[in-house]
Amino acid sequence: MRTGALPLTRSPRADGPRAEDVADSRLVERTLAGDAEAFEALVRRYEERAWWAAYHLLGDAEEARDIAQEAFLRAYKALARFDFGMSFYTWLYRIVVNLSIDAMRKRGRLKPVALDDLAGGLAAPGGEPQPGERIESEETAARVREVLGKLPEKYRTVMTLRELDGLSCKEIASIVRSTHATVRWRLHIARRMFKEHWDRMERAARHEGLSQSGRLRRAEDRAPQP
Amino acid sequence: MNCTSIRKRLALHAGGDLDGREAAAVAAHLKSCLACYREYSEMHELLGQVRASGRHRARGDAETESLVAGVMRGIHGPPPPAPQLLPRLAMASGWAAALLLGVALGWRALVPADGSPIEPKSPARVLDHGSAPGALTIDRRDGSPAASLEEDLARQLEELRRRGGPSRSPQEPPTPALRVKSF
Repeated sequence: MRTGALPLTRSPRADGPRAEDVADSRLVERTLAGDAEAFEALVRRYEERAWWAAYHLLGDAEEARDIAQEAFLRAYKALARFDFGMSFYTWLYRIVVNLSIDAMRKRGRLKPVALDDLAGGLAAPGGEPQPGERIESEETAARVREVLGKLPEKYRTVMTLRELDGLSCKEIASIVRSTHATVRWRLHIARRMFKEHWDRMERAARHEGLSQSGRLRRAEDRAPQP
Repeated sequence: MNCTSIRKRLALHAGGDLDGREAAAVAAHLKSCLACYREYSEMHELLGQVRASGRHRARGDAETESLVAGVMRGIHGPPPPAPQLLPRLAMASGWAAALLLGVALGWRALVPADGSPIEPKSPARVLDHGSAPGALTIDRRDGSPAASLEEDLARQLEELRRRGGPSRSPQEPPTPALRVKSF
């Protein structure tokens, strides 16, 4: 019986300072010295991750852009208090997540992804996906978001950061200001809740599909024969 | 490990979130337990789908430039300096010292060193003796400010000391408990 780890799309980040962190510290120092271009370099380096983090939590492209923008501005204003022992990336993520959670609370629920939003944008890097594949991935993404929206906020946040943003449990613990053990526990609960909702949705979809095909058959039977 | 304890770890193992020893123990169990393996496999497949759905949407250069431009437009001048810690600490220390001094002076004024009961003259009236012997309740309904009451008490204390006030008997309480009723 094969039990080796199946290939996953993301792996947890290695511990210890990254070359990126060292470079980020230099850019932060230069920004504090008055070099605006250094901050622009930081923005360009992390704008995509910040946008995706907000988008995964909020489900709206425009709102995600506003949140990412606001996060960078707040980071700029608080840059003099930046702790150089911490990664700029983790610090920025914390701001993005907090702003996104505030927006979610104001809104009251997770916004379902609009199909227009899923279909928009240029082709994904690495070539144009087949139309069938794209539709399937968009549908899967929509279902994932729908199920994530059913989870309580603390579980939803942890699962989104781990599964969709690819952050490790340690990074998540730093971002949400909790312990590693608490994040692991929440992730365990979140995954089980997610699977329960997912399975329920699949069963409901199968039942509806069967009912629909049953109705179609009955309609065909009743239709007058040529 | 039995199935019960393995099942508590399956969701984390399926996502690659268990460390070396735990992961090895779970993997060893899965080799021999079909039910647990099935559960692990379903969770692992589901997480694979969830992770693959993460970046289903491409972002164009225009979106990137719009975001970067929006940020840079909001920046005016260098980042604001961090608030100075030292003046704040100095101010806080000063306030703390003043508060302690006030409490100490007030305590000395209200509780005489020789332990004799305080008999305030005016403007405060003594309402009654409290439940504890030597306890006094002073009425401030006449609106006399706290400073003048304390001055009165301090003056009377001084007077008692000059007169060589009554010596404390063993039965007497060491210091009279003074309760001040404020309105």
